[in-house]
Amino acid sequence: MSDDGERSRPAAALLAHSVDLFRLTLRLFPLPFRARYAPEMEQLFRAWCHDQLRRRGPRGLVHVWRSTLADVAGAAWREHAAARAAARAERCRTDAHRAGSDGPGPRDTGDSMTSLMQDVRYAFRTLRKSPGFVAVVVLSLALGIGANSLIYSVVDGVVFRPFAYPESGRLVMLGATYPKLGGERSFVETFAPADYTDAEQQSRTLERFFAFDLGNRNLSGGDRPERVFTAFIWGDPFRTIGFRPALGRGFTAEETTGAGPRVAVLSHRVWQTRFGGDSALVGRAIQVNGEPVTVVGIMPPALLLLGADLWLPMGVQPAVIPRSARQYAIVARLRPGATLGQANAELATIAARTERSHAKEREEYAGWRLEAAPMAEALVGEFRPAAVVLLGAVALVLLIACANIASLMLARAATRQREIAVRRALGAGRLRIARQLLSESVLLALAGGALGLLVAYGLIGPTLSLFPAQITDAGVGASIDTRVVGYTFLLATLSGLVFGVAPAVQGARTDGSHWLAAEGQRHTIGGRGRRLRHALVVAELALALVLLAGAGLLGRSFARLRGIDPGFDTRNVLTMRLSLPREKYAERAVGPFFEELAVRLVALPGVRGAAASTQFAPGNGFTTRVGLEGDRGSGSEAVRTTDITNVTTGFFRALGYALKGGRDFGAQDSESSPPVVVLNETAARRFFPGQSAIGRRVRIGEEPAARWAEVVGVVGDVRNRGLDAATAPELFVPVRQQAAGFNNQLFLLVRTAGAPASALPAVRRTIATLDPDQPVYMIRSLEGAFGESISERRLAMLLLAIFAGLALALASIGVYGIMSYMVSERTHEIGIRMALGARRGDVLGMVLRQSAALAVVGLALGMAGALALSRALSSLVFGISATDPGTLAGVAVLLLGVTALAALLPARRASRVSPAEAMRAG
Amino acid sequence: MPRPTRAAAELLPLPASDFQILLALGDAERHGYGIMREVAARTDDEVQLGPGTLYGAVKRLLATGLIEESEARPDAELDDERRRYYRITTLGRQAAAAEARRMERLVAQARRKRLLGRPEPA
Repeated sequence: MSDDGERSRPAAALLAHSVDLFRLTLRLFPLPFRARYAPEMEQLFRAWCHDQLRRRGPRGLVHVWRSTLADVAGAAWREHAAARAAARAERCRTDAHRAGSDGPGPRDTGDSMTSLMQDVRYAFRTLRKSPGFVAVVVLSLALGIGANSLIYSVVDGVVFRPFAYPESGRLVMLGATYPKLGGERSFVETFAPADYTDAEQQSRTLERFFAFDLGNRNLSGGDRPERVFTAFIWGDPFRTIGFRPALGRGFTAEETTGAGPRVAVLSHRVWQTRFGGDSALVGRAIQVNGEPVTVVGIMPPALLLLGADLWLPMGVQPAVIPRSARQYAIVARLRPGATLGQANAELATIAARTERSHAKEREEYAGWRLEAAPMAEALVGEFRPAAVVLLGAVALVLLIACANIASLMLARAATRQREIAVRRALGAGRLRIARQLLSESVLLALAGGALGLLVAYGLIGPTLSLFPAQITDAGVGASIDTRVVGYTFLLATLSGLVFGVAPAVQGARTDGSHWLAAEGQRHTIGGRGRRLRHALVVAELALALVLLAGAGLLGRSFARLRGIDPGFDTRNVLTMRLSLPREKYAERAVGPFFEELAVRLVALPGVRGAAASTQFAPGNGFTTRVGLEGDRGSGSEAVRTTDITNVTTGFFRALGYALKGGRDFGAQDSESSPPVVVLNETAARRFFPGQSAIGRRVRIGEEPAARWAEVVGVVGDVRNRGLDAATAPELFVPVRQQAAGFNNQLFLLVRTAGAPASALPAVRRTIATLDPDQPVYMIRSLEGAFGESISERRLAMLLLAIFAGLALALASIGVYGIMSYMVSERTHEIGIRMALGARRGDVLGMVLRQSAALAVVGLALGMAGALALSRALSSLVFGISATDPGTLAGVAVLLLGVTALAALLPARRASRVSPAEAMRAG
Repeated sequence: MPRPTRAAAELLPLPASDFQILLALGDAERHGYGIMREVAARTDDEVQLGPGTLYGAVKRLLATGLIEESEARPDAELDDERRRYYRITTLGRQAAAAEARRMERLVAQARRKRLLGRPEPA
């Protein structure tokens, strides 16, 4: 009996590993296929393994794998081919008039193929004889190419194709710019429901519209309540994004508008983590905010729609919601044949139509712009400049590595001249020699590429962990997929050609009979070869300088950013979010709940202050429009917009905001007392220029019925939009007087004596004394939040600094190599010089002067390059010019210093040459 | 017995894996693993449809309308997990029959050329 149990445990582990491995092999399939069939294939595979294990033990598993591997590889290949053929057919269909031949047909390449194979075999044999050389070349290539594959996979996954949707290039989001609201173009939380219906009904270039709003919902039932990221939807998102639920179905039209029963679709993630992947869940009810909702579908395993875990129909007709509710995002697809340009032209006329009919009642429509952008650009377009810079930087590193290898190959070619001369004398043509040498280079490069792929595979996880959480949480990730493999292969071949071309040309020039006739005499690589190698080192130095300049500029920008005073003390503040369910807390109960919570928290040991607010710096959150007393008519006045934040009584004290005038909120500001507000200095200056704001009155919102509130205080500015943005005007309202219908989600801010995280258990317990069912989420430190606001810059700087360091190291190896070679080549000459009376210092100086000459030429070229490329950096630098002279001078000095160090070793060797020995050896 | 329509005839010859799947679904709705087992059992393990081939064929057969999905339901034999089942369509039956007849004709021709003996009396 125990025998059976003992056998089954390893069997279960084997099974689990097998299934994991199988899941990995499924990645070979194109995504749409995977999305549809992977869950079923996995089910099949598990059942099959299970059966075979039971029937034949581990041998059965071997059988399963033997039948699976080739099968999956073949099928994946066929699916890719089919997908490509379908895409081609699609292109032909939409592009009918451009019909023509697809290029030259297959050609008979039999003969050249045979000789190519010969070349490759010969290359193998030659390379096997010099393992040290091969190791150096392959390893440095592995690093260079690996870094490229890594950055490419990350950039491709995060910036260029962050979303796995089929034909994602034709998937667009609508963006709007409202000049009256002073905003930039935004894509999420931007549109009113009526804008969605307008666009959907009037557009002829876009189709398959849907709109969504994002929020959070409590998922209860089970061991603990949980907040899940929720998308609320109008329209059919599944048709638009091209993913339908892997299990069950999507939403019906009735369900979307609230007429049908309440239903939900779950993400694969939440289905796995919370419901254990139970496929019987479809059709059953779950508890959402305490109410039963029927699960009708489970999405396939991909993070979709910004990583939403719960998909709910909006449950109300768009027409019910007023035009002022600008909180929706709109997604659509370009119709076949339509271009983005056409869509944008059409959206401009739609916007103009809305402006004509609605700008009178809603000023923000005056001059508003409506446009479509590919989803990737809309959501992660801000990372594009950094991505391009990094891709360029890492390519430069590879170029430097290639230059080093070329130099190495040239040196090797010199020692192989005899071999080549013999082959030439035996009748090998120049072209054949060149091709054979090139085969060697490409073979080396491919080996380096393969190893580089492994390097990239190992580093991809750590690299992604450097990314801001908001990116990785939104379903953006990167992996070594077929595109990355293809890119790596291409890059490896290219680098092989790049570093192989000089030695190949050199080899082809070797004249067989001439060389052999002169055999036995001293031979050197000759002036042409030396010039070529000097040119290579100069190029390395120039490229390294470009990278160093970029890293230096980003580093200084970042230092400036870090030096900026946020305006208040961000240290030791624990933040978290609480969301009081509307079903349980009436609007009027929200304020008192948080006031009471703050009081209880302050009483805790180790807590210095506590407050709650609807948002905190840095963030770009809730804004409102305000009316000012004495502002006659709104026609002539620009619409005044300000951030609006509801705060508990001790907020300014707890966070350390400086009170600049008037008074803080106090216990007297209750829900029954006259409404009061506090402004920040920017708001006070902008609303009441040249006057004191204290005692003036403002009206929050646009409704004429809104109550006037008195400005009782002004607080100092803080960087409320992040360190790298100007302070936005901000208006604070006591949470107990909160603007009608406002907010039930507040952040708790707890200033602690020690590390913020250490207070968390006590804070949780205190919350439980008020409401044991209340979950908290988004727990982090305020300092961390400020750090996140500059984390993209930090990441770009960090990666660029790593690449620049790598470049510098490679370039100095190059300098060292060429100087060593020069010294060994000229030992004889140096010996003579010393015999004729040259001193050690003279010899040392000679070598150093040579290296300095190379460095200066490299610096000049690199400087020119850095200046030419400064435009690419301009959006990434902060507070300094992209051609900052101080930085450029600094990196130039650094490069000169490192070059001198690299040349020092060979120079010292030269100065120690013993004249007698050198001349004997000669 | 269904007669081959034009549509079914146009699909001939069927890839071997497609024909096997149609045969497997001829008498019952099955899920993916069910199809695989039926084929293996019927051919004494001579034909082993791997997962890739199987679902590649399923995709093709769904696209040409030779089979269709029936709803997912638990399978008592396999841990009660829910599985998606497939069933053969009328067009699928016609195509399978047409394919079988095509093979029959081929076999008859092989016999006439004496490549194959007479069928043994049962």
